[in-house]
Amino acid sequence: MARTFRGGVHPPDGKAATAGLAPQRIAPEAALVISLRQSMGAASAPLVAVGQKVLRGEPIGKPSGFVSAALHAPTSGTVKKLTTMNDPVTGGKVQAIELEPDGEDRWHDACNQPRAWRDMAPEAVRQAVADAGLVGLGGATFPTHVKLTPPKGTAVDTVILNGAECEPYLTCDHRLMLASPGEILEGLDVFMRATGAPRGVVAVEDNKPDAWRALRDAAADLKHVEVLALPVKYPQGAEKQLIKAVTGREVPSGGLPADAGVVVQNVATAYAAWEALAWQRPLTERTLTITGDAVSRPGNFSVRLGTSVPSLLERAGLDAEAVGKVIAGGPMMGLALATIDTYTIKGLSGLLCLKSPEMFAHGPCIRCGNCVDACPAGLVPSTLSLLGEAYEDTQLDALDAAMESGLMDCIECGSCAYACPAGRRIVHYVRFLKAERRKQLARERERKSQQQAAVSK
Amino acid sequence: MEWSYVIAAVAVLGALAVVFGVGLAVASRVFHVQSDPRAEQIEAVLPSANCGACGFGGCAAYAAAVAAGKVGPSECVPGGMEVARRVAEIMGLVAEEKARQVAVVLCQGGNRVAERFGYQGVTDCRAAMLMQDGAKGCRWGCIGLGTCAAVCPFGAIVMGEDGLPHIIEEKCTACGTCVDACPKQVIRILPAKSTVTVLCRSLDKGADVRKTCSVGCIGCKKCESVCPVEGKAIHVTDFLARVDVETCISCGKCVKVCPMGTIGNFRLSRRPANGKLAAQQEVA
Repeated sequence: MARTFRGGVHPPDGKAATAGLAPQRIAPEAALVISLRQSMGAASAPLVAVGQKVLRGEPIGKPSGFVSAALHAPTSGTVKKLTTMNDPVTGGKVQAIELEPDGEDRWHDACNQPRAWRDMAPEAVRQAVADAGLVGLGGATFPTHVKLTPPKGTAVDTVILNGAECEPYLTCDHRLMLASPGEILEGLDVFMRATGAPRGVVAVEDNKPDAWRALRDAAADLKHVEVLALPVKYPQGAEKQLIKAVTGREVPSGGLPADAGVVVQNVATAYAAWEALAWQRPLTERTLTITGDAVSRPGNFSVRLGTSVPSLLERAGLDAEAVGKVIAGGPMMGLALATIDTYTIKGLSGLLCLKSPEMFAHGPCIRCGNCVDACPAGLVPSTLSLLGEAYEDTQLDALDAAMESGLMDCIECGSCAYACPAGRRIVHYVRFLKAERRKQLARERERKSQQQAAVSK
Repeated sequence: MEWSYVIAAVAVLGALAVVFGVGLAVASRVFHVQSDPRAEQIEAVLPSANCGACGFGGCAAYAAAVAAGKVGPSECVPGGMEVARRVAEIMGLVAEEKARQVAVVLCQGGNRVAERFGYQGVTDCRAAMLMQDGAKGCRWGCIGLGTCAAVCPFGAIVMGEDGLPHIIEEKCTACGTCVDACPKQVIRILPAKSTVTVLCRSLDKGADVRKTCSVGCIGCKKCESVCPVEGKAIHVTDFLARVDVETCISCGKCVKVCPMGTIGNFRLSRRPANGKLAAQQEVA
């Protein structure tokens, strides 16, 4: 039986423009502005003062809470000021540190040293991953050490490295798998050691046969590691769908991958884990794809955190006149930027510059069922979008109905909206309903605490 | 014709009717629920808007709570004093006087504020908020997609051509549904007597406000210096002027001196013959 999951779509992949281009490393020249919000969960707290000299890899932000990530200086230089910048994902203002590079790009003494990490205990490995500020580099930016710490009562038997890169246009993971298959497999070993999982799987979509071959050859001597080629289908790289395709197990509704005995990490995260453990290099650089019909020199770029986005787009030959839309990430799940006046962060996997933003006329649902066929989560997206409309029209019970229809199981992959011939903004309705649900829960909590306070009076 | 069939059918059904009737009668006695008749009386008096402004999940829940003596009779916001008096009468209490309140839109931006990008998503402010905090150049101001007007249970909010919601004060009951719905918290419930209000919520610095909005508070403090009240009834904190409702004497001096036309004087706007807000004239 073919290893796959239900539903899914086949959008044109647009990867040809950059798939053959090895990443260019861009040295930090101009001032770097490093956002303190680089991961899901709480933002980091600044650790440096204005005027302080820092070396590459020196901690400049400390995690505030368990679900939060450490932050390190991407190069050596002087802290110019504590400022704010536009968040490239949400568009809101976030706290940031401005760093003036000194041009020497010197590592901190404690960094860039080989380490015999194979003797380390699982707890120590997890701590080292946390100390290196690792987050999920596929785009979700979930702190890696949290994922490597499965909740009590769950046992992880498989670590899956996600090399699907199912998002159209992006090729940065593809190039990484070609360039560093050995390091990625070392990173897989780090994750297996941290979770105690006996089995490791690297999953690659079969539109990247060269990457699959490179990894397979590198893993030839590894008994517990399997390199799989999965049939091309979006959203192959979605956590739950990948688990279903690789292991045949389903993550229960509202559950974590650990409930299915699996931890999924991106291949780029695995590479970063190898750097962190074997070389004590914290996460200060990532590879991203800049592509689309509005740039004349598309490519992959290895950039330091906090590199200015306009300078990168200029390097890629952005046609400022023609560009209609710049998307952070890929076209399926990425978000359009309100302004390009921003700086790279750990979670920025691509900048897709499109000339004419394709805008679909949106109309009423024609009940064709395309979205139901496309939904990889087994939901009925048309119903959710109709309930979104009903909620907009102040039918408040529509929210409860949406909850019963599995609102929270939606992974917002966009397959439904892609498949919809009426151009309905189904994902936006889902995101809207989810946000309203969170507000409702917050209100209920507040009401309860008020009532308790009233009773105790 | 076999009459015996007819008679048998009538007899059987009749007997069943008697058995069920007796059963129901017994059940209604045995499982009788003691309900306070006053709760029903109170519910009949309440406006049945189920707005939740009282803090309960609808008019019936509030009526039951009043009948049980858990809350006072004056909590129904849309009902106002009229309903409070009648509820108090049913309960044999005296309703306490509550000052009338109205919803006020604290933004005059609307169409005057440029959009940062073309928004094509769901036409609802709460949904627009998910896309980069809304498309408006000012991140504090009204998004203008009319969610407040849609949720108002009394039809007291209409969207004007200026891209802003307008409160019809005669219809507004200060229930607060719009306040909860507005993702920018641009609407606030204020005492109807407070006539001087700063119609801006921007905490941006003056220079930044000027870049995006022609009628936003720039925090220049002219209002503060001109205020005749001892200890000042208007203060600028975090680059935004705020009126102290308790001490403001509604003299209107700050309204005249405000260089941006940000401070509104509802005493004037309620009587259009006397003139309009500077900002409103500009629109016209």
